[in-house]
Amino acid sequence: MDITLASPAPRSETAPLRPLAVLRATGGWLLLAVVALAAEPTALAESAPLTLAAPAGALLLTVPALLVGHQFLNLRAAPSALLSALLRGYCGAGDVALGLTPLALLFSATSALGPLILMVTVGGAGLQALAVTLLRLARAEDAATAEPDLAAKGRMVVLGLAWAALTALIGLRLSFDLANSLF
Amino acid sequence: MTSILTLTAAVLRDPNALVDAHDNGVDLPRLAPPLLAITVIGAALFGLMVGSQRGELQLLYAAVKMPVLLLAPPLVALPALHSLWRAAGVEVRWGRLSLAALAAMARSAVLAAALGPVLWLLYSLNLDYHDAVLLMVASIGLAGLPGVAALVRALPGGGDLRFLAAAGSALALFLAFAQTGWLLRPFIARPQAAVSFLRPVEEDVFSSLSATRASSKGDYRGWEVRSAGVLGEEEAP
Repeated sequence: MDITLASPAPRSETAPLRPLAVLRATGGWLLLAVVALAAEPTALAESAPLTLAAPAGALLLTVPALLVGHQFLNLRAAPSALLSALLRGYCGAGDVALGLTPLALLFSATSALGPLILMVTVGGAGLQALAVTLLRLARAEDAATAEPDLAAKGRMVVLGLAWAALTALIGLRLSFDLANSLF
Repeated sequence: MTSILTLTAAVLRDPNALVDAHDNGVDLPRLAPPLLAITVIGAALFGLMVGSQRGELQLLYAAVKMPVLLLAPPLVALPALHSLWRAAGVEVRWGRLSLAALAAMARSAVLAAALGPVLWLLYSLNLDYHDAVLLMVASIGLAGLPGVAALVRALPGGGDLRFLAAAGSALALFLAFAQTGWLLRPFIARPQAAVSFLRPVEEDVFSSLSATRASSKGDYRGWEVRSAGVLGEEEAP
């Protein structure tokens, strides 16, 4: 057997978002709910839609406010660039949910912790996606600004933080409904 | 034999260089069997030392179960790791992730086997059951950390807020490892209990930790176990 050691390979860049990615992310949330609640079929019918409602609802309710605020504050990035960053965040969180499905299956098959794993996943994946999306929104604004503009940067930071806070609060409110249906 | 020894040296010295050199989509099927063999042999040797605490059939049972304890959690957690890093903007190919995981497991298994004699020595001094369990868990943790570190270092650079993905990956691996260990118990048999290969599917690892903590304070309630989960449901009489 020939075993060689070499210098690191070139790093791959982030691939462009495919249309099917949104479908896969949505399916990821639903599949996670189905798997995590496999031991509790009565809770499944009510809780699976609520699992999807937490991330998707939070996004749907706050994106218009973000776009309106962005235009009102006279910022430069194209709305399509912001939407792309938001959609990428949603798909990322859905992918995480899909990736956590085997772990949820392990717990729902062998313990009563399936619902808890579901709640932790919804919270954890949602928070990671929110933080990463916030960075990408700021980066989209930077890319659209030809010359450094501190005032515009400050406005974007305030807008981004306000949007993230609103999204987190709405997500928490929707997750509360999910927790109520589970425990 | 020489090649397996060379591979063992490579995973101990610099697993990332091994992953970088063979991350071409072709070498994985060639390297997977020897890496798995190293993992199974290393973990089984460690299992033998753990089983020596009780002896008899427990030697065999622990040696058979220990490789499963090392191999199953990464299988369950790898999809979560892949998606967590992808969400952070780090594209990791499945081939590279699989090779890195195999190298990491092999590294941990060999380190665990090296820690085996220390366990045997301490177990031979008639260590208390609870101390024996704690020592086993500490040894696995000590051998597992360099493997997890190698796995994380093998991932490509870049991305946003990598620490979130790293923390999530560590949590997913820990949860999978803890529950798998719970399912495969006992590795160390209680002094009064009969030697058994597996116990029924019941409760979960965290309820056991809670009962252990209460027991240490003199409260011996909470040890009554109930069946739980899809596999643990009892049939109606």
